[in-house]
Amino acid sequence: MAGVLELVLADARTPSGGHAHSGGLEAAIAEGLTITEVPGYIRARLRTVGRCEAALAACAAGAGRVAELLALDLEAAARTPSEPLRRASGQLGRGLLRTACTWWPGDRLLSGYRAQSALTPRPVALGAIARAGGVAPAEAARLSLYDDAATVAAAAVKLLPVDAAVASGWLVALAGELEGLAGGGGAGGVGGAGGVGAWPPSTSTPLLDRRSLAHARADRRLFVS
Amino acid sequence: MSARTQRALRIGVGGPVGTGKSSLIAGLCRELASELEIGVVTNDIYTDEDARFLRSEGVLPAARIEAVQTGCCPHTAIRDDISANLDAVEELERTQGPLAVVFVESGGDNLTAAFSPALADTQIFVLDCAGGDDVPRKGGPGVARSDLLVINKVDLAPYVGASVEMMVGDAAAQRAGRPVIALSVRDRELISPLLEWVRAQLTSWREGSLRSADPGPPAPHVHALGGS
Amino acid sequence: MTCRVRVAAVAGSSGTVLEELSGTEPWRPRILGRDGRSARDGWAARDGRAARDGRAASVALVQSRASILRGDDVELSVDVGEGAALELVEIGATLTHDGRGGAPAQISVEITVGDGGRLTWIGTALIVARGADVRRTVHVELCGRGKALLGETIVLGRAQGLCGALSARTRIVCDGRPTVDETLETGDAATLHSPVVASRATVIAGLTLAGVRDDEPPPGAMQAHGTATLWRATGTATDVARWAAPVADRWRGVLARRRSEEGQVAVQLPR
Repeated sequence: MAGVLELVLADARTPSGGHAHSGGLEAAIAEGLTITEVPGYIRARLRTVGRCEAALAACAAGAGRVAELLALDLEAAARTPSEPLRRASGQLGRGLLRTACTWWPGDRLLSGYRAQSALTPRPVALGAIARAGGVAPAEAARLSLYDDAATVAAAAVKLLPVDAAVASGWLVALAGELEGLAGGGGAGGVGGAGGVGAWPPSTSTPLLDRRSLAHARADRRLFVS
Repeated sequence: MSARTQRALRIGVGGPVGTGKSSLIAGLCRELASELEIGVVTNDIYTDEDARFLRSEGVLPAARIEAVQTGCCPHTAIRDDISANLDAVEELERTQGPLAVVFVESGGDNLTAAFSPALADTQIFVLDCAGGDDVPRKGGPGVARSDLLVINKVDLAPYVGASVEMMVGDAAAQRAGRPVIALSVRDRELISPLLEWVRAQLTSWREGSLRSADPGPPAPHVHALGGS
Repeated sequence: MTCRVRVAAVAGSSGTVLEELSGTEPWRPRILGRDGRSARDGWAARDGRAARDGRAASVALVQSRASILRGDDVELSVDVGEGAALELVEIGATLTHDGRGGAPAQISVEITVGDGGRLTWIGTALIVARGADVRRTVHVELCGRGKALLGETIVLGRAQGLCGALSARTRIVCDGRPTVDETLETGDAATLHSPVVASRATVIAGLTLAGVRDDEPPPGAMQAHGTATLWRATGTATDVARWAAPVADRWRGVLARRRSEEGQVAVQLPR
C-alpha cells in the first residue's frame, strides 16, 4: 500500500496547492534566467534546499509524537530566513495536511500536528503524512526532492517557451542525482547530543532568499513563490 | 445553529474574463455591507488588480479582501486543487470573522470552469451582453447549472446589437427553472433581484437547508439534427 | 596541529572583566585597550570603537600566522557571562589554502552568552583559496536575553583564482529554540555559482543579529521566525563592504541599547 501511496503523494493531481508555486523560478526568470539554465537551477536547488528539506521530511516520517514534529517546525524555520518562503512553505504544508486528514481523519498524530502547528512547513507536513501512510523515511525524502524539482519543471512550461515533454525530460535526467540525495539524506535527527553535526543538515542560498523578498512585493506575478 | 451553518456562506462568482465579475461583487458589497459582514477572495491571474480595484472602490475594509495567486490555472484553483483558495477563505474567516458571506471571485476562464462544492456553497455564473448573445445557447455547466446566472451589462446591449430577451430565453431553456437575472450594475432597480437572491441563499444556509446543484461535468447533450 | 583558544568574560563592578584569555600557538588572543589598534579592514572593525564602550571588553584574535592550513584543528570557546559585553576583533584577513595536503582544517567555535550578555564578532575576510579544505562550525547559545551580532565575509578564491572547499555552518539557539541554522558550502562550484547561491559574485557576506531583532530592518534584511534579523549580500568585495558598513553600524547600536532606560540608547558608540 505504501508504494501506491507514494504515487498519490507525488501526483500533481493530488490537491496541495502546489500548482500555484514555481520554486523560485518566476523570480529567477525575472532576473534573467534562461531556458537552458533551468536544469542547472533545478539541480542546484536539489543540492541545497532540496537536500535539507528531504532530511527534514525523513525526520518527520520517523517522528512518533506531535512534540517532535513541532521541534522540526522550528528547525525548518531556522533554515528559512526568508519570511515569504516560510509563508509559502506553510501554505503548501497546510494544503497537504488538509488533503491527508480527509483520507485518515482518525490519525491522531496527523490531526494533532495539523491543529497545533502554526508553521506547517511543507517537508515536515509531508513527512508526517508519509508516516501516517506507512511510507518509509527514505521514500519521504525522495518525495520531497521530487516535489521540489517537479514544481520548477511544471512552472517552466507556463513561464517559458518550452515543450512540456522537454521539461519532464529534465526530471528524468536528474533521476540519478535525486536518488543519490534521497539516500544520503536524513542524517541527524531531532535533538542532537553530539554537537552541531547531530542536527539535520542546513544550507545557504543568499540569492534564492533575496529574490524571494522581491518576488513577494511584485505586483505582476503568476506564482505565489 | 448546526456546525455546518456556523461558518460564512461561500458564494463563488465565475464566468469568462471581462464579464464584470469584479464590478458585480463591488456592487453587492456596496449594497449589502451595511447589513452583512462580507469578505472577498479574488483570483487574479497575473496581477492583484481585481483586489486593488475592489479596495479602491472603498466598499469594504481592505483587510476583508484577499488576493490569491493561481499560477496560470484559474480553473484549477477553483475546482481541481482548491488549497490556496480554501486557505485564503479560512484565513479571512479566522482573522476577520465572524463573517456572513465570503465571495470567491474566479480569475475568469472558459465556459467549462466551475467551482468545487468544497470551495463554494453556491455559485453565480456571470455572462455579459457584449460577449456575444449566442453564448447562453452554447451552454456549458456554468450557463446551465450554476445556482444563479447573471446576464450583465444590459445597458450595452443596444450598442452591440444583442438581444437580452433572447439571451435570457436561451439560458432559461437550459436551466430547468433555476434563476436568471439580467442586470446592469449601474441600475439599482435591476440589481435588487440579485440582492434578494443573496439574502435568500444566506437564509437557507443558516437554516441548513441550502441545496446547491454542482454544475460540474458538462450536461448530457445530443448532437443530432433537430435535437436540442 | 590542534590548538585551543578560550575567552571568558564576566560582568564586573565597572564593566566587563576577562576572566580567561588563553590560546595555544599560533593563536594569541589579547585585550584591546582603550586606545588599542584594531583592524583596518573596511567595515569589520572601527578604530577603537568597541574599546571605548565602557561596558564592553574587546579582545583581538591575533594569530602569529594569518592562514588556515589543511590539518589545522582549532577549538575556540567563548563564554560571555550574564550582563557582560564582549567584542571579538580579527586583525587582518585570513587565507585558507592547501599548505601541505592532508586532512581538512577543522575550526569549531562554541559560544555561550548569558542572560543580559552581549557578543559582537564581525570577522574580517576569510579567503578560500584553491586547494583549501576547511570545515568550520559556529554554535551559539544565547541564554535568556543574551544577544549577539555576528558578521562574516567569505571571499570565493583569490584574485582570478578558483575557490577552494569551505563548509561553514552557523547554528544559533536563542533561549533553547533553534533560530538560525545555515551552512555555506563552496566545494561544489556548479552549485556555488548557480543562481541559487552566489551566481558570479566573488564575495558572500552576512550579518546576523540574534537574541534581539531590528524592528526597522534595512532593505534586504530578513526577519527570522525566531528572535533574529539577518542580512546577506553577494557581489564584489568593494560593493559588499559598502553595503555592509551602515548595517553593521546600525546593528552595533541595536546591540548596545539597554532595555531599561525608557527606550533611550544607553550607550552611544562614537563615530
